[in-house]
Amino acid sequence: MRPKRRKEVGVAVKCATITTDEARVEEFGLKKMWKSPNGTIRNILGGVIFRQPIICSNVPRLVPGWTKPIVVGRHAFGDQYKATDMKFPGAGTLTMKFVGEDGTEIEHEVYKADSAGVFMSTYNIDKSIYDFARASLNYGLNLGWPVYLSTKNTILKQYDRRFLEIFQEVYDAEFADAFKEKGIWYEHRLIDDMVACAIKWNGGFVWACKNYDGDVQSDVVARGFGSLGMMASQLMTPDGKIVEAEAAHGTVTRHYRQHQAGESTSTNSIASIYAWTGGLKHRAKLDSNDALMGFAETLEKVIVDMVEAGHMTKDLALLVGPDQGWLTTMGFLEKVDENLSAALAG
Amino acid sequence: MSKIKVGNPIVEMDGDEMTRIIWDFIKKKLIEPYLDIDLLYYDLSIQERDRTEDQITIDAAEKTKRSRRSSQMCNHHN
Repeated sequence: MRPKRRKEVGVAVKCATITTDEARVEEFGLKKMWKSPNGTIRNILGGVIFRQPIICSNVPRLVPGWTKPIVVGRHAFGDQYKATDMKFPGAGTLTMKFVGEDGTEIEHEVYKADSAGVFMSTYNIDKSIYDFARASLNYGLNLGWPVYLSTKNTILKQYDRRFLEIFQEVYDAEFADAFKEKGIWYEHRLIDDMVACAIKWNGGFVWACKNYDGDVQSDVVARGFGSLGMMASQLMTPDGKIVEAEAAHGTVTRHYRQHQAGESTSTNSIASIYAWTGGLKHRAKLDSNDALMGFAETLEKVIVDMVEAGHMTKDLALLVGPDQGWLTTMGFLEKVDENLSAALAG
Repeated sequence: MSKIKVGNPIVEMDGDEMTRIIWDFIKKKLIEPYLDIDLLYYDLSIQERDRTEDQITIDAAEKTKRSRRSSQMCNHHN
């Protein structure tokens, strides 16, 4: 009998995990300082991480115009994060060189320095940029939101221009029709223009960022929207088929210590719940399961409605104002349970 | 009210500390009562990662990427 064709499970939901450091090695008596599970998972699945804030109208944002989420997709390969950097001790010449396996040599003189300084070399790979383009355009198509790529191609006429070229090529060949059908679009913007537009606009778009920009801008967006407790994170593969959903925050160690000491806590569980709903929505989409999609959307609506009706944990209450009351960790979850049950029965 | 049938599994990766406590509540009270779903559970707690020398993380990611047989068959073993 022919074996059944292998098929990806395609969906993972992940709880926040401890990333080990020296202190943790000691705390848990670990055999080794294990690498971040998120990094390991990303290396195996490939793909791009998209961070998306959860918005409740009564939780004020530092940028009041941000009424819809801004999704930041960060290209998590190369550039500054794989740079080789060095100091040089005095006058001399800096060069960069490519030596091909076929023997081709390309060399550029970078600078004739007259005194000491610093020097850096970064790189990126076409294959990785193609993957980044496909993941970003698939993510936007899924959400039904326009996609923007930001670069400094006017200065980096070869390096950043490559990003621009590849994105346009992929869009034109693989996404243009589907985007037009949904009434959305893809555009490249210069990074200076893009950061200004991001502040001015109302959100509701996917922002594909080069590695460094993504690192910086996702923290700006997180701070602008208010709380990491309201930031969901999804890894999507370039073909759009696999999604791993999790909260963007950590394990909330500070609250855990209070809990271990028998004290009451008020930990925001919303991003963790959205890890589940995010995964379930992708499952629903892959399976064309309307009932499951409806369930996930109902759970999300229950949470937003609850917060907007004034039921929230302490982190959000502090943002809302001095007169806003708050629930404990379990108090909030139990209220979600109660409201979900009512919403599904009705 | 009957549970919603979910035809294919999802990989579930458990974690640590405060979020682990929250995760358990979400699964038991907000998900399992309403969905007939095959959860492929991997415990990515620091203890399990240490015990398995991080193999559990790799297994969970690999499982997400591929399954041994059509997931229709997995359900029967739930």
